Amino acid sequence: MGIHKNIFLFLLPLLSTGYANQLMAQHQPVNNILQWEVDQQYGNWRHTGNAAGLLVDRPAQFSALQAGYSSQAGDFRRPQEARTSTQADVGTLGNIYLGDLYLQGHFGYARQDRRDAEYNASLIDPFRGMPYMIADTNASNWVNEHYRLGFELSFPLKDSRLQLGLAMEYRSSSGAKQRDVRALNRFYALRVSPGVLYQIAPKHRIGAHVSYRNHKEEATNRSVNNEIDQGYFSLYGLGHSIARLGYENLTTSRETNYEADRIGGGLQYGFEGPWSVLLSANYEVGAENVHIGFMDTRPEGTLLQEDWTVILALRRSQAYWKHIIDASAHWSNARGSEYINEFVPGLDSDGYMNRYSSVRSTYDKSGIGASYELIKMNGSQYSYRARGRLAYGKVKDRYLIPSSTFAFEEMLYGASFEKVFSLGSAMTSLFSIGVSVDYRQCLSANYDYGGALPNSLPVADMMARETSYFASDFLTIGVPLVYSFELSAARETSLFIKAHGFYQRADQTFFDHRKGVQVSIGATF
Amino acid sequence: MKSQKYIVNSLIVVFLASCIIFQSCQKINDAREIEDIQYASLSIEAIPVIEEVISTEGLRLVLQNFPEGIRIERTMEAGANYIDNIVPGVYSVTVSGTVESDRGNFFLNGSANNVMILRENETLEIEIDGATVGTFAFSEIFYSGTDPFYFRNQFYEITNNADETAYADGLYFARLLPIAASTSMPIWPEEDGNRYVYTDRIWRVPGNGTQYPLQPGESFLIAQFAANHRLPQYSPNSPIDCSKCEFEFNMNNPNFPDQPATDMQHIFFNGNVAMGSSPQYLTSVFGSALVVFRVPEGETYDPVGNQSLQTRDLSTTSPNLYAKIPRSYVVDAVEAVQNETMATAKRIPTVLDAGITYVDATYNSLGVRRKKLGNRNDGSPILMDTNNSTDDFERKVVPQFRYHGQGVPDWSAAN
Repeated sequence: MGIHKNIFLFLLPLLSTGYANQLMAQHQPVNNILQWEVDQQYGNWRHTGNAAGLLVDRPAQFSALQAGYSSQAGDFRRPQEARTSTQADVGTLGNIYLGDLYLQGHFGYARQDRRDAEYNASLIDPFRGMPYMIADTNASNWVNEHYRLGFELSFPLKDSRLQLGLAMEYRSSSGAKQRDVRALNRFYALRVSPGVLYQIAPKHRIGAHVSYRNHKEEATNRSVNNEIDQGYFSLYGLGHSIARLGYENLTTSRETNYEADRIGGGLQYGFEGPWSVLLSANYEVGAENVHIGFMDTRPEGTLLQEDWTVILALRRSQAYWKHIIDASAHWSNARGSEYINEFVPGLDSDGYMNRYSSVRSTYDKSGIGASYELIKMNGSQYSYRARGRLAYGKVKDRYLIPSSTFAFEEMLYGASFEKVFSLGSAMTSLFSIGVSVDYRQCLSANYDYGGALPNSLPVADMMARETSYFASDFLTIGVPLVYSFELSAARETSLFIKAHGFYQRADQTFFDHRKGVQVSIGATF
Repeated sequence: MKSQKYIVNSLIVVFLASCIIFQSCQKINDAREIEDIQYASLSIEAIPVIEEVISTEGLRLVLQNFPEGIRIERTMEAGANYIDNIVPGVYSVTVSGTVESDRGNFFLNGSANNVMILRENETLEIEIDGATVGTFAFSEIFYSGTDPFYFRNQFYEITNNADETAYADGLYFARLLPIAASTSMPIWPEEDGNRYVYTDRIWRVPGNGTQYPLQPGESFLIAQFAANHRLPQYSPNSPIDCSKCEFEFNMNNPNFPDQPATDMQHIFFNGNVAMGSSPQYLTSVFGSALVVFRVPEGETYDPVGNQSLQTRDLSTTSPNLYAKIPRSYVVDAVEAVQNETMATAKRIPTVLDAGITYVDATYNSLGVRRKKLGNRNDGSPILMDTNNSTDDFERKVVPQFRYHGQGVPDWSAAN
C-alpha cells in the first residue's frame, strides 16, 4: 500500500503540471459514434504505441458507454476454436484536456461462452502463440471473463516542442471448463509504455518510446472422474506430443504456469504538410517460461519471440475529402525450447533437476499490407466511406529434430463501402449501412510430420484439420449497421445502436461455413 | 521538503522499474543462450557377468524413448558399439539374447533405465546377466477392472511352464513398490545394493509341500475375490466368473465374504503377519509389478521375525515397513504399467523383467496374456518366457482362463 501511495503521489504532480493553464477543450468535439470512429482512424500517432504523440493527433473530446452481445457459429474453424461462441460485453472510454495535458482512459468487461472447443485444457487463448500446452480429446465448453483497464496521457514539458507520454494497461482474465480434463485458468497482463516526442522543426517531429509487458497465466487441471482416466497430450508444437493417462496421484492436480516478460521500443518520424506522414518502426522481444507444478516444479518449455513492425501512414484532409493510406510490414520470429529433467528423490533433494535444454522448434511469420480509404465529408459528418485493402502473409513453423514443418502463404483482398443517411433535416438522426467483402486466397499450405507417432491424435486429427483450415480459400461478407440519434445538442449526447453480421464460406468440401452477429447499444457524451 | 520527498519517491519508482527491467532482461538473455538441438551419439559396451557368456556379439541392442515413440535397434558387435544420430532424450537401453549351455537356456538381459543420452560421445556400460526360465510363469493377468469402477474381478493365472511336475505349495506372491508406476521412486538402503526387490504385502500358497501338484502345462488361478462377478450384485459386465478359481486373497471383508476357493496364506504387512484393515487386496488398476518367488531348500525366509528383511522408504519420514525379497528367490516377474510412456518408471529389475506390458486404460475389462511358443508332444502349451514382458505378453486381451489350453489340476474345483 505504501508503494502504491508513493506512485500515486509521484504521478499526481505530473497530472497537475498543466492544470495551471487554461482549462479548455482544445479540439472540436465529435457529435456521434460515426464521427468518432473516423477521428480515431485518422489520427496517425495513436497507432504507434507512443502516447506522447496523442497531443499531435489532437483527439476529439469524447466519451462513450457501450453494451453489446455477439454470437457466432459454424464448423469452418480451427480445431481449438469453439464451434459456437457468445459474448456479452460492456465498455466505456473517455478523454479530457486539462490545459495542455491530455488524458484518455478505457475500461472493458466481456464474458464469453465458448462451446465445443477441442485440444486445449491449459490456455484461455490457445492462439496466442504458445505451443506448450495440454490438449485433451473431449470437446469442451469454456466460460471466460475478461477485464481491461487502461489510460494514456500526454503533456508538454517546458514548451510545446518536447512532449512526454505514458500509456498503461492492465488486463485480467479467467477461464474454466467443466469436462475432464477440467481446467481453471487465471491470467493477468500489465503493460507500461513511456514515450517522448520532439519537434525538431516546424513540420518535423521525431519520437521514441519504450515498453514493458509482463503477463502470467496459471492453469490448474484435474479430473473429477478418478475411476476412469482421461487421456491427454502434452503438446510441443507441430503435432509433436507425449501421450499421458490421468495423473500419477489421482488426489492431486497439475498446475501449469506461464510467465512472460517483453520489452521493446519504437522510433517515429512525422511530417506535417499537405499530407500528414508518419513513419514508425517498433521492436519487441520477450521470453515466456512454462513450468509445471508449484511443488517439485520443473521447466516444461520456453518461448523466445522477437517482433519487428514498420508502419507508413499518410493522411490528407480537404474540404470534402479525407484520404487515409496505411502500409505496414511485420516480422515475427519465435524459438521454442524444451527441457529434459530428472527427478532426484530423497528428503534432501530439490526435486526435479534440469539436465538439458535446447531449441527444438521455430515459428516464423511475416506479412505486408496496405489499404486506402476515401471519405466523403459533408461538414463534420461523413457521407460515405470506401476502402480497399491488400495484404500478403507467410508462416513457416519448423520442429527441428525429428524434422517437421508447417507452412502456408496467403493473400488477403478486401473492399468495403459505407453510406450514411440523414433521417432528419438537422442531421441529428443518422443511419449508416455498409458492406464489406474480404477474400482470403491460400497460395500454398503444407504440413510434413517427421516424428515417430504419425497416428497420434495431435498429428492425425488436430494438425490435419489445422492444415485444412489454412489451406482454405474463403470469402467473408459483412454488413455493418449503425443508427445514431442526438438526445441533447446542448449536452452533446447521442445514443446509438450498432449491428454487424458476417458470413464466411470456405472453398473446401471439408468445411461448411461460419456466421455471426453482433449487436450493441450505447451512448456518447 | 516536498520536492525532496518527490525526488525520493521518483528514485523509488525508478529503482523498482530498473529491477523489473533487469529481471525481464535476465529471462530474455537466458532464453537467448539456449542453443539449437543437435543429434547425440552413444558408445555402448555390454559387460557379461556370468561365465557362460564370453562375447556379446549377436545380442540385440534396443534403445527406446517411449514418450517420443523412438526405437533404435541394432545387433551388437563385440566390444564397444557406436550409435549416432540419436535424438536427445531419456532412453531405456536393453541388451538381450539367448545362449545355450549345459545348465540350460539362458535368457540374457541387461539394461539401464532412464539413461540420458543428451550430447555427442556419451558412453554407457551395461552388465549382462542371465536368468534361466523359471518353472512357474504368470500366463495371464487381469487387473484393470470393469466399467463402472469395478475392480474385484482381478485375477492372476500361473502356469507350470517346465517339463516336469511342479508343486504350487509354498509359492510366494507379491507386488513391488511403488504400487502404480511412478517416476518418483522410493529410496532403499544403500547397503542392500542390487540384492533385493521390495514389497508392502506378501502372500503364500498354502500346502504341505505336495498338496497342489501341477503337471507340465497346467495352470492355477488366484482371484482377488473368487466369486461369480457376473451376478447382479457385482458386475454383470464382468468378462469373467472367478468362482472356479483355485485360490483367493481373502481379506475377511464381511461385505465380500470368504468364498469356497482356498485362501492364500498372508505372510507380511507393515512388519506383521496380520492383514491390517484394508477391505481388499487390490493391485493397481493401472498395473502392478508382480513377482512369484520360492525360498530355496535349506533357507528360511521370515520377513516378520527377521528385521534385516524389513526396511522403510528412506525418501519419506513414514514409519511403514516393507519387506525385502532376495532377487535370487524370484521365479517370475511381470511389470505392468499405465501405458508405454511409463517405461521410465520400471520397478522390476531388468534382469528379472526387461520390459513392460499395459492395457492403456483403467476399467476397460482388458488384460495381458503371455504368448505361446508351441506345444509339447501331449499338446500342452509351452509359453514364451524371455524375461521381457514387452515381448512375452499380448496386450489388451479379453480375459479368458486357460486361453492357450492349459490343463486343470486334478485337485481343482474347476474340474
